[in-house]
Amino acid sequence: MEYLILIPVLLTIVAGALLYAFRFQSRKSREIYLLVILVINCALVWWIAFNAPVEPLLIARFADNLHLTFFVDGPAKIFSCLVATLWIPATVYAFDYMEHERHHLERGEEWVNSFFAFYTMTCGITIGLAYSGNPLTMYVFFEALSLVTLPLVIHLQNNRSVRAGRKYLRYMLGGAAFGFITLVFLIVYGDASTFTTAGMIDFSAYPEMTDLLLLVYLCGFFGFGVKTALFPFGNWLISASVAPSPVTALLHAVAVVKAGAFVLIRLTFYCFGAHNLSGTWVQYAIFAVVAFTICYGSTMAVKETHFKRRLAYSTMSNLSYILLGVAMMNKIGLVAAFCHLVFHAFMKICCFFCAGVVMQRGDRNYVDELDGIGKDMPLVMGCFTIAGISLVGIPPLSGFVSKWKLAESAIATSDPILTIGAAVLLYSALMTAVYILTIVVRAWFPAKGSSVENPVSVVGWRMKLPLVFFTVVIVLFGLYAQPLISFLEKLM
Amino acid sequence: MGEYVLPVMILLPLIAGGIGYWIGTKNKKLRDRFTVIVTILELVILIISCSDVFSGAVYELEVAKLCGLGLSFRLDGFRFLLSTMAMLLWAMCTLFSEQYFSHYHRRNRNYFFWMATLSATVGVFFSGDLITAFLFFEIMSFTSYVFVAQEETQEALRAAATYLAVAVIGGLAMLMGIFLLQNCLGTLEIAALHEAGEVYLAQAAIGGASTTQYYVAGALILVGFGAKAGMFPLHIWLPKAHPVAPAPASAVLSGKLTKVGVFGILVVCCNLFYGNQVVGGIMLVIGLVTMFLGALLALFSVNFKRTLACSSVSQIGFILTGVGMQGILGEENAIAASGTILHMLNHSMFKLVLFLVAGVIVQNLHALDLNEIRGFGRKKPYLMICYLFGALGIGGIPGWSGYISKTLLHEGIVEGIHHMHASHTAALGLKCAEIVFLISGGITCAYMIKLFIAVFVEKNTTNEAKMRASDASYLSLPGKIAIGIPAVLLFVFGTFPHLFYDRFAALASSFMNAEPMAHEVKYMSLVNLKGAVISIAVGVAVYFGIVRTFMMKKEAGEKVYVNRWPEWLDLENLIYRPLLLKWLPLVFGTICRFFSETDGILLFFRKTLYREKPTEQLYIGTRMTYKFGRIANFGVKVLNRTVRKNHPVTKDYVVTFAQLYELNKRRNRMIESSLSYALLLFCVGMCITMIYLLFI
Repeated sequence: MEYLILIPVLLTIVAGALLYAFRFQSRKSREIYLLVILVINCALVWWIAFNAPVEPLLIARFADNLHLTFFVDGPAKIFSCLVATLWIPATVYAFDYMEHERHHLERGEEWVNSFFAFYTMTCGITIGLAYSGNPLTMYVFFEALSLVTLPLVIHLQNNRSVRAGRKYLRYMLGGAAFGFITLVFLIVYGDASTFTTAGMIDFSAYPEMTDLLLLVYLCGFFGFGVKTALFPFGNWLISASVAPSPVTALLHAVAVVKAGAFVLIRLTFYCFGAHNLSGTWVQYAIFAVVAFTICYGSTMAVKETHFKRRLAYSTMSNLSYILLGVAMMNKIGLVAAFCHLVFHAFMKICCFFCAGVVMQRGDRNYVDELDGIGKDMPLVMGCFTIAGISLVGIPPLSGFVSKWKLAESAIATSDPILTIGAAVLLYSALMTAVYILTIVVRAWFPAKGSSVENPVSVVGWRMKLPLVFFTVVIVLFGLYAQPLISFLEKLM
Repeated sequence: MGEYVLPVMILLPLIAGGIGYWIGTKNKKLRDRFTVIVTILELVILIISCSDVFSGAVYELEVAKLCGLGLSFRLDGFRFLLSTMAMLLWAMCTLFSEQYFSHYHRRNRNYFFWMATLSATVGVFFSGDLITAFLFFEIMSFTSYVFVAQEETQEALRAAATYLAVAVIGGLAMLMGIFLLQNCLGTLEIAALHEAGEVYLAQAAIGGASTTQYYVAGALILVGFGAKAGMFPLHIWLPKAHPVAPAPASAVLSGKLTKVGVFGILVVCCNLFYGNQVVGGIMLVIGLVTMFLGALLALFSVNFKRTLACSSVSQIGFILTGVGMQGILGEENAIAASGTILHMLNHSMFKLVLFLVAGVIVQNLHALDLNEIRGFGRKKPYLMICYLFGALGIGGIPGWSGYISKTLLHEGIVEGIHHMHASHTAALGLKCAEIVFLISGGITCAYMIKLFIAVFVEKNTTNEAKMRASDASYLSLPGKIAIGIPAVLLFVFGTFPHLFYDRFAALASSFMNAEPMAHEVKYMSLVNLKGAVISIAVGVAVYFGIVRTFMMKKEAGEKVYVNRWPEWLDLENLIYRPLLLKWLPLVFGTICRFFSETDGILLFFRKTLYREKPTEQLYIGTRMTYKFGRIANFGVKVLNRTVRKNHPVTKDYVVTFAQLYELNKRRNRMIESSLSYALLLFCVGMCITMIYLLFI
């Protein structure tokens, strides 16, 4: 019975691999197959979240200290539920998107087939990452995630995407190499068998090594932080926006980058222990980098005129919001980090899907071509408007709740340097307002005679339904986020 | 029971807006009627269900955990007055809209956001804590954007962008302030702010802790609300937004949305900074500057609506003066508080009447420039009387309601002068304040006279026929009712002040922590009339001395209005826009460009320390290659002329040979210096030696 938690990890990986091996000839049967798998997967993940085994599940033991362990604790529940839930609408959206793309590029069914194979496998690996019970297991899935998403990034198979893919791989593997150093230290100097909020390394046992251990933490923070596009390792994210929209949305909003943030939360709160780190120089160091990334990302988003790349920059800054909560290293910080992890997933996936629709069906790529698009695609741009305003942090939408918590955590440190975090949030909110509202205003209030006359093709329900779903969730979380917040408050 | 009406009142317009949108897709007339009925219904429900506030009841409702931090609603006398006035304003403007908007596109959108804004405005007034206020305030900012941008012309979009920018920046400043305040006091409930603030300050005084955070928090919240109120120097959106917005929207923007800002300012000044003379002094100075500058801008303007917009800025200045005096007077603030409240109510009604008059002009002439609309009001007695009532009210003429509130504000300053007899400089400062107050009142009279004479007295020689064409049908009955009701109210309230206004003031004063006035003010006493007389005299003098001479010039035998305000003197274009759009992006852009490549630092080193030698090099060759090259070039030239006429060879053989030569030279050098070459030579030598040994 306790082996049940392996099913969500393996189910989609196997399903994806099977899809790759035995290609479906008919589009319809493939879609039904995928939907059934994903719905079962989602139901299982939710069931496990409510009936999770209290003990870690040991799968294999390589040496005394090297275990392969799965453990469904609080953070694992949140992240796995988020991923499993978002994968369904994202796949439904991808059906429509890829079908259009296929016609567009005149590629075969095979091409779409392999896309969905990797797309589905990513889900299982992300859930595996969430369920990992110790740093080693997490590291395995972390590397696997980089590899399995590579075919998605280069899926268009033109020069640009191959170049982006090469860049992506270089960044990912390089980062993981640094993470590996941290992993080794965790295994040698600490008890790396299971995650615990108390921290795995007992700092007081190695008084002469404190600085070295902190340096190792910093090394791991930057190494794993490559996935969260931490400055100065964020450029892969911008280049990777050449991938098809469902992929960018998932890479940028849910799977890859959020996996990075999730790993950093694990590393800080569950491996090294927040109490060991807070107040040391390393806290200021990561705070400085995170604060700079927030400002940098949002400022560059204002300057960027390509629709999707602008959103990618926005992602860069928003991921660092999550890390800002981590950098505060207190309880509210953890709550705020997870809050923003969840809310940003919904907001950004909604924004990216809207951008995908506008770019594919409206044939508009740059922000200055968006004049009057709101009249052609009222529902899509309506969803974008709500998600965007939430991203700015305007009440009563969900972005406000997490930003408020973040600012609260910054003030709660009662450290004058760390309270600058609140000011950083303010600056970034202003920039966010600029880069989102310029799009919104252009879309709904075009200056007379400036409309772009590109034809707009029909947007199917399979694209609209996910958007509406995300928007409703954004509004609902904004109005009533209490269950999530009280769950998070019990984590630490 | 009454407390459950509060959320209903907030949601009703929003839901009705949605229903109205749906109706509007089927039947436009029905939608207009429906919206009018809803707004009137809203007013009636509020008055009936919450009438207990007249006997001092306070309704409170808390909805915990909603919107992350919980919402809290509250209705007391002051909030009741403000929200009733808001609903009245909306009802009248909606009534007026039917005819006004009949030629507009996208009316459905306009009506929806119109109702949503009502709901948000009422929400702000009903809010019991600052978070709730902030929530509805932000919603209001965003929904009202649609009015300003309604016409979608270049100017409208530019003005709307300014409006949005001010709203967003103000909103963020306010959020930061609220956040800091929450951290200081631990509560955001408006009714508890005063006490919590005093406790905090007392504790800080005992412990010797810094109170900077408290003051910064207050200042940031003031900036947020002040931006909406049109406080100097954040007033920039007002004069731009009004001329381009539809008239009913202008009436609402200026009549009510600015009051939402003032409401917030009162929350801060009368609770957090209650009796704080320094803050009071600062507010007084800001108020005076806003008042005088607004009046001056209005005097210079030659656009009917722009004049009214600038006048709004000026009138907000009057209200802020009252706020400042409350701070200076401390516990004796009864008169100043009453003046503040009553001027808020008054200004809503003035601007309702006046902007609707502007609306009548626009819907008939589609113009607002004084030179184009002059003479429109002749032979339209109803319109003239309505305008006159509004103008007399705003000018502070005894008998109309503006006189009452202005007298109280004036009395407040006079009282301050009495209080300050100990400090000579403070008394002198307040004396100056009084003079500025009276002069601004005078300029108010002057620009109202200017508008009156332009529209209702002067003849339009060029376009007389057009002016007369609409004499009979210029305004429908609902429109007449919409303008008439507030105009009459202005007169009634002004003539019987003790019956209405004294009671209103008493009802609201607890909000500002002020005692009700100890004795009735004798409005018609000689001392008080003197202030009005001075203002009127200044007004007449300014009109004849400056407006008729300096601001008009003769052109083709006729005097026309000219804009004498220097074009460059515009705070928005002079400072804000360049700062935001040019200087900040320049600074941040330079920083970002430096880092924009991931390997910015690497790039930097590559350009400095690790600079590569240029790879493109010029091939020189030798004399031989040059000669051969020339010969080959000649041969090619001949070939190009004859055999390869259609596919000429374009290669330059001088360069090619030079290149070959260099390549060979390099290769040779490489070969010569290699080990295998040495071995090869060695082998050759060996072979020769062996052959020599063998055969010779």
